[in-house]
This record gives sequence, structure tokens and C-alpha cells, in this order.
Amino acid sequence: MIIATKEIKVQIETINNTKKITSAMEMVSASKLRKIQNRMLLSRYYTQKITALCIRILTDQNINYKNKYITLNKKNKKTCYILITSDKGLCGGLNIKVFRKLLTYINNNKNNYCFCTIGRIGNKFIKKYGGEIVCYIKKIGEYPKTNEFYNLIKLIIKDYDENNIDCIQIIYNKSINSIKSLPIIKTILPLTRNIKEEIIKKIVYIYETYDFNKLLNNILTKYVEAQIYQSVLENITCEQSARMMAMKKATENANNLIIDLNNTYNKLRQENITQEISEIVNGAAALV
Amino acid sequence: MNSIQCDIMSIDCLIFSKKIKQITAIGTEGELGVLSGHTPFITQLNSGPLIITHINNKKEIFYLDGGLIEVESNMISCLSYSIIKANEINEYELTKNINEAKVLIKEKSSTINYTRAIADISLAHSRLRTLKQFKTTLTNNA
Repeated sequence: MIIATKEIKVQIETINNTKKITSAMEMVSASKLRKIQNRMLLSRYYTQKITALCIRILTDQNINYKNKYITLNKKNKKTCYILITSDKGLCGGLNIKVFRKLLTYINNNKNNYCFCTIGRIGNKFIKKYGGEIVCYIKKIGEYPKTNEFYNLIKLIIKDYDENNIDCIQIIYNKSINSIKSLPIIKTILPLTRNIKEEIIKKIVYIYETYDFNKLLNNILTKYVEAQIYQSVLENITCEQSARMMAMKKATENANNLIIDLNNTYNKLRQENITQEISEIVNGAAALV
Repeated sequence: MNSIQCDIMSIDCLIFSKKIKQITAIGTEGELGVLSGHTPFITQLNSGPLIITHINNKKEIFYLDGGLIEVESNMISCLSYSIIKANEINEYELTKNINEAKVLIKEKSSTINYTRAIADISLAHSRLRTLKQFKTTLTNNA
């Protein structure tokens, strides 16, 4: 009996320690979430601006150049998927949702494909699933910088220019509000025209440059960079909010477990006391 | 008073968004000034100062690490890799960096990357130029 009560006490202590960790992680995630959310919202404005600019230049009728940045080649040879996942776990089913979306999409469109992975968990998954990994970026942390993606951007734009890949798509979790997220697949190149019409005003520009291709390349690089950076920020926001929710649930579960164990412990203690009293009474009765 | 909306932003911050009178920047083709009612145009920008004249004729200076300027009808968007307000430039640190890089080049040690060192020096000089311009504007405004 005494051994059982001791065991329960040890269990309660262990769960209490775990609870402390989970509640601390919840608070850390909550503070990080607020910071990253602000950055994501600011970056959204920049991304919108550069996307609109890019579409306006590429749909300009006055310029003659290869139009492969706008229209999709009908014989789509190879698609490059940029898979964005988290580096760490403990964030509920966030990454699984992305993988499920990716697999359904790949099964529906039977093209050749290759992957660029950002985040450790995605890379692990692709290695298991099978597929060519062109580029892998890890340890992006909570506050990524644009120069971390420089090699990736250079590589995919070069591949796109040389017609090794015909389509670049990005898969990530889009943050809808601080609790809700949705896995989505977005086409970066060629530029799809499903952006709202009011953003794409028809403007005839003067291009003040001696080398138009250089200007275009610069804008395209900035566009791809902004899209990737924005997606990464959105994914980090979702990761932090998912981790916050997961840790909140874990703390609640730990609380429930502690209440249950406390009840069992009290019952056992009560039994012990009752038994001792009855033993004393019986002993006293025997003496009389 | 004719005014034009101006947004100056880098990928992770919107540093300035106000109605202004004029903007002056250094493009790849030379220095350019934009007033309200300018024809729409796009050009690349070099690293250097970006001067904004407010409606009350006061001037504000930013330092740009290259970028793009897009002028629409009554709207200027300036997109750059990194933007600093001129008053936030650290003169002491920049002079220190220049001296260190110069010493390294003089010593001719094989471990340093010369192109990188020279690029660092030119970047620091261009920031210092912006700071100097900022100081002149301050005295003029006063």
C-alpha cells in the first residue's frame, strides 16, 4: 500500500515537471507568434506590390521577348516543388497536412517532379517518399533572412531559364488567422493571372535602362525571393500558433492527469488510515 | 499643393509611407527627381542616398542598398534590399571598418578576399557620403 502511494507521488511530480515545460513552451510560442505575425503582415504588402509589378511588366504588349514566364508550356515536362515545413516537431499535425496535400496533388498531376526542401522535417519525408532533392535549406530559425534563400533562388531561376523545369510551385501552410491555417499550393512561375484585376492596372511604363533583360531578371529574382520569403514567414507563423495550441492542450491534459492521480492517491491514503484505525480498535478489543 | 504618395519598403519593413513633394534618387542611368504627375516609369537604383522633400519643404534622407523605383500615376514605390535612415548610420563603425579593410589589403595576406574587402570599402564610403549629405541638409534646415 505504502509503495503504491509513493509511486503515485513520483508520477504526480513527473507530470508536474512536464506541465511546467509545456506551459513555458506555450508562452514562448505565444510571444514569438506576435513578433512573426507583424513581420509577415509587412512582408505581405511588399510581396503584393512586387507581384503586381512583375505581372504588369510581363503582360506589357509593347515588349517583345520570350513569354515563357507567363504562359505554361502545354507539354509540361518537369515541375519543381518547393516544400516548406518546420525544422522542429511538437506542432501538432501541421506538417502532416502539408504532406497529405502534396501527395494528393502529385497523384492527380502525373508529371515529372523534383523537390527543393526548406525545413528538416520535409527533407526527411521526401527522402522516405522518394524523389530528387535539388536544394535543401535547414535551420532557418524563427527570424529568417533573405540571403539564406539566395542559392535556392539562383538555382531555380537558372533551371527555369534553361528549360530544365517548366513550373515552380510552392507548398506551405497559409496563416488565415492566429489559430487557423490551411495548406496550399501556389504557382510561382509561370505567373498565373488569377490575381485580382484592380491590382493589375494597365500602365504603359518607360523603362529607363540600357539593358532591359537585366532589369527583368532583377525584378524576377525579387519576385521569386519575395514569394519564397513570404511563404516561409507564413509557415513559421502557422508553426508557432500550432505549437502554442498543442502545448496548451498538453498542459490541460497534464492538469487532468494530476487531478486523477491526486484522487487515486487520496483514496489510497484514506484506505491506509481506515485500515490502521481498524487494526488499533481490534488490538484494543483483544486487550479488553 | 501638388503632392505624390510615396512608399519606401524593404522585404521586411515599410519604412516610409506619406504624401511628399519630391523624391531624388540615384538610378543606374544617373540621378533622377520625381514630382507629382510624372510619367510612369521603372528603373533600377544604385546604392546611395534617397532624398525626400516633404510638403513643408523639409528634407529627409535615407540610405538605399540598391533596388527599384516604380512611378505610377501619383504613386511612387521604392523597393530595396535594405534601407536605413541617414541619422541611424554609425560613422565611427564605418570608419573603423574602412581602416581595418585597408590594413588587410596593405598587408597582402592571402587569406582575405580582395574583391569582398574592396566592395566593403565602397559600401562604407557610400554610406558615409549619405551621412555627410544628411549633415549638410541639417545645417541648411536650421
